Amino acid sequence: MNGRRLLAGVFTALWAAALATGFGLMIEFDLTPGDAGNPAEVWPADSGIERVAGRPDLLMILHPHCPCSRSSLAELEKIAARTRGRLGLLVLLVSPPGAATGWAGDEARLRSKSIPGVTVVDDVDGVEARRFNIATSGHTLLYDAAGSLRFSGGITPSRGHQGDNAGSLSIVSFVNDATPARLTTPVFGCPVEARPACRR
Amino acid sequence: MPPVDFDKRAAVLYEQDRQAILRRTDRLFAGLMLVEMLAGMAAALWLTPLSWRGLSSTTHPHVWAALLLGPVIVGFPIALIGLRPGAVLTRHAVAVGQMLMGGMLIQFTGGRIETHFIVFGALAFLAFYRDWPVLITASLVVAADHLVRGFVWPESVFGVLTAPIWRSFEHAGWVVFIDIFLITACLQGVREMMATAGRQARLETVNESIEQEVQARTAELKASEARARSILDTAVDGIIMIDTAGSVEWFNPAAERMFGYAAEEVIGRSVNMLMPTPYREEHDGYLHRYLESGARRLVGIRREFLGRRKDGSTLPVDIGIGEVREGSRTSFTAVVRDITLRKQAEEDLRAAKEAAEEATKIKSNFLATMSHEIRTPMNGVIGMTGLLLDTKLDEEQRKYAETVRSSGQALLTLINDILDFSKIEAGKLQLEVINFDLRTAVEEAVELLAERAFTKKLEIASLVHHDVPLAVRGDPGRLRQILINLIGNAIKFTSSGEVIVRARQETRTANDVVVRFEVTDTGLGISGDSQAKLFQPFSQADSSTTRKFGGTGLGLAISRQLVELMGGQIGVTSEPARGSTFWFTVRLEKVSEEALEACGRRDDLRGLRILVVDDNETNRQIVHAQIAAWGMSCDAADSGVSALAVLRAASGGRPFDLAVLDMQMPGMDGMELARTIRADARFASLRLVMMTSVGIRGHAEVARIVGIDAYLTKPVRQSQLYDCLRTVMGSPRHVEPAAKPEPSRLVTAHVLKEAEARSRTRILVVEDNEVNQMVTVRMLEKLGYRCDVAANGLEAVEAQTRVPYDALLMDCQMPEMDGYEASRAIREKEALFGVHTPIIAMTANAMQGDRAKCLAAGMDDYISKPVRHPDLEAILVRWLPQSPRTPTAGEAAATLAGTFSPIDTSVLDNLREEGAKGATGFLADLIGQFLRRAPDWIDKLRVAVTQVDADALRMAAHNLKGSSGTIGANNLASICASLETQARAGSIGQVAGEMLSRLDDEFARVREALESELDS
Repeated sequence: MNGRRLLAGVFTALWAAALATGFGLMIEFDLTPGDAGNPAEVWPADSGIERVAGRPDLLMILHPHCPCSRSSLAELEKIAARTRGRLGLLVLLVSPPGAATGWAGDEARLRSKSIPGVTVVDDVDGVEARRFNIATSGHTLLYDAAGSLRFSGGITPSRGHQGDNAGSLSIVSFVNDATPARLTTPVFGCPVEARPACRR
Repeated sequence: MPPVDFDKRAAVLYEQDRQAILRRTDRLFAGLMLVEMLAGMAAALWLTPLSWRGLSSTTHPHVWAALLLGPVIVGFPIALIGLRPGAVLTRHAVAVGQMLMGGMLIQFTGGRIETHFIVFGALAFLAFYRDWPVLITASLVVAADHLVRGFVWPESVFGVLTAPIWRSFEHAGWVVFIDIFLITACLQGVREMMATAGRQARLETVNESIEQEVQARTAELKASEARARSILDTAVDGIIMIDTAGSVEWFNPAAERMFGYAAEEVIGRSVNMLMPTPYREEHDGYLHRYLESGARRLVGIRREFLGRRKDGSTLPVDIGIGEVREGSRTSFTAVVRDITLRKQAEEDLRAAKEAAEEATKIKSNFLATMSHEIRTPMNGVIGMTGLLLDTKLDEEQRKYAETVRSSGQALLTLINDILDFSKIEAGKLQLEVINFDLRTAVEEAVELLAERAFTKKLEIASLVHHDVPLAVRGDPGRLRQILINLIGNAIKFTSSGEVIVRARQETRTANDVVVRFEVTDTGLGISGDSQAKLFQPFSQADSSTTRKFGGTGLGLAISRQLVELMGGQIGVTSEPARGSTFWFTVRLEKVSEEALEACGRRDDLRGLRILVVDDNETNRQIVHAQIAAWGMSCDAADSGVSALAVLRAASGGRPFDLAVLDMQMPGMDGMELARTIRADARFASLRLVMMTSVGIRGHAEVARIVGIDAYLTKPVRQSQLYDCLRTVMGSPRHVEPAAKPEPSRLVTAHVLKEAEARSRTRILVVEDNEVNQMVTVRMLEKLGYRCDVAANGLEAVEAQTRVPYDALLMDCQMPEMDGYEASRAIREKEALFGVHTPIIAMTANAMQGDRAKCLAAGMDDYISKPVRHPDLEAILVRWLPQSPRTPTAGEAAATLAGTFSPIDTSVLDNLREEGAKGATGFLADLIGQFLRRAPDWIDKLRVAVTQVDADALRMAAHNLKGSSGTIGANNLASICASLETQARAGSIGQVAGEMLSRLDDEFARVREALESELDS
């Protein structure tokens, strides 16, 4: 009887250890942020993206096939709902250099367009991404009406994970309450290019 | 069944049920977790198949997690479910695995809020275990996850780096909230499971009990069936069962032997094959009618029948048919008994009975003949001896004659005993049922044996308790016979002391009374062993008794039989050397006092013409001599025919007044003669007295209907015959020849005794002390008076209202009401009717003042206690108008010459004796003086009444009363006493006038008697 108990205890302990290891690795993957880049402090003058005068803009870059994009767009939709048109919403679908035509597919585009007020911009060869100096899918930049950078980072709490997060809260707070504080949050997503596009 | 521990059984059942639920839930979760694992893999492959870097991609780590971590999560719990289903560890591993799978899925779906519901769903599923610690384990996993994340990456939990503490509470609160509900549901589920287990335990017990009962009943049924089959197979009687069509279904071995058929030959065939014609033809009709109408001709009724054997012979059978209903099926059982032998025995018995009845008839006739043949000579012996004793005999001759008479009486008693016993044994003895006076019956029995008691110097007394109703209906002769037997035995076996007869009421209903009689003696006593044999025939206490005391030993056996015939019991209590009490009870019907109508008596029989009819010459001589001695004219006839001739001859001249007929005469017997006489109008006024030597039940009634006036059983004592003639001649006789003879009261020996008792002076003894009661009663009975007893003044006043007593002997000190008060009350009542009953005080206080007190209370005289015989006799003689003694036959004859004198001759005799002692002519002087003075006092009385002068009336009445008493004119003295009482009361009216008239008449009689005395 005691032997069986001991055996059960041992197996229970091994199981617990395996679980801890497995979940530890998974959590570590989920919580490991991507390259934060060095985003432009002012809306780049050479950017080909048009702005509406007197309106802050929120710019997000996305890798069209990154699974985490789904969570980032879900959070963007919440921000859109909470800011109610007081914020310009821009999604850059980055096609890395060498990508064939149509490589990006329609899923990310359609999903982005389904969010009211979002303007989807195809960033062929990642030109605009480099102008803003960001390289991780899901990286979001907030520029005020004057074109100054007010926020930079991800709007998901972890990789591919929806839910309340500091990025979204900061953006909504800035737009609605004109909070002057600037925040930076980690970005959880896939690199949009094979090589590092920027440095932190 | 052993006692059941319901709780223990319920716990077992609960545990069984719980284990079943745990294993079932384990299996559920095994399947669920496999599905979750696959779902996780599918989700990972679908949602996050690849991880990208620019244009290049690799397998997403979530896919690896789904493929590797998922099986690890579910592998261990599923293995436990397979290896240890229902174990605690298993379900807790399931809880952990379930929550981790939930977490992984949440992770795979990117933390979609919807996938969080899997956690709550998992908790709800875990509640299926109904084991709340499992929920705690699951909740702890959630808590640990949040705790670790909170430390490692707080933003992954709350979305911010620094979440307020209430968020933690909110998160925990939701889990706790659902846990509370689920834990409550678990506990409720456990309670319900336990209650269900308890109910099931009881149900099982009941089921088990029912099962055992069913098994027991089934076993009994089998045993019963086996027994029934055994009985059917071994029964001596034939048992046949048929269906409603009459086909035989069962035919037991006894039936086979009885009818000669084997069962196989009969079963399935009609039962009427066992019946001869005409039963065979009728049977099917009976059966059909019964089934149609239910009219029973045979079913449920035992009857005798004729059966038919296989060989065609018939046999008598006793058959009982029963109906058996089993649901809608009906069958009939017949129990058949061969009664061939019984029939033969009955035939033999009937023949034997007829022979025995013939023998009994012959015996009865013999007894009747013997009775007649023995009594007739005995009548002669005793009667002739009686006549002989009335003649002048010297001392030796008288002694011889007395011996002859007593021997004759003894022989007669013996013969009567034997004849009675024979009759009882033959069941021929039947009781008369006539109205009679119970007291008279008791006193008569005592009186009959008093002489014998006195000879042995024994005190003998009787006491009939006042609660005993006197007027009853029964057989006084047989009652007296029992009493005489018991009293006679008591006297026989008592050498000194006393014999006391008591009668008291035992129970009473509206119509009946059970009277208990006790005869107590101070004799030898009887040992316990001997008591048991006493009432058996031919047995006495011991054989030496017979040698010493004589007797047949039949008396008590006859008494027992008689008592039982009277619906009573008899017994004895006794102590050797201390005495015995024989007791018996009889049930008697109560009748009203009026039913005992008094018989009138003719005082003077002289000059009557009597015809004696008897075939026996001796009897004729005896009766003739007796009648002639009483001054009557007597003729005789030796047959009915000659009697009719004599009567017819006399009817033209001086007809006969009375005929004495013998019952048993050759040719025309007494009854036939009586009928013939009654049918002839010329003899309508003729009185008939029937004398029989054979007392047969019903003869008395027949005699009454025929019109006979008196019916006596021989031997008849002289006094009895004398009283009979007086009574018969004193009664009216219907003379209308056309009128149907009216059944009137028949004069029998008992009637004569009652009438005689009624004619005696009656005294009420008022005394509370029972011993004094008995002493006084005995003394009075010795003096020839008839007594009643009252226990206090109240009873005395009541008794005096009902019965006109001639005198009262009154005790002064008594409870309830003393003698003084009672006397005053009686005097007050008497004053209303102008009568005066002498009241004589009896008291132990012998002071002069007491006498005055008694007289003041209205009493007439005084006697001191202890009462002495001579004093009592003297005082009664003084106060009572005539001597109470019954005249003997000789005295009766003498009385005819001058009876009913207004003068008490004993007083005159005493005066004569007094005179003889002193001066000569004393009595004559006394009479002369009285005759001279009395008219003066009567004149004074008349004047006093006329002038309504109470004092003068009282003085004159007092003086005349004293003188009258002295001279023996007691009636005259009594009338004077009444007048004196009225004068004292001051009530002189019409009553006093009437009494004065009576006084004149009485004085005329006294004068005549005294003058006659002077002449003699």
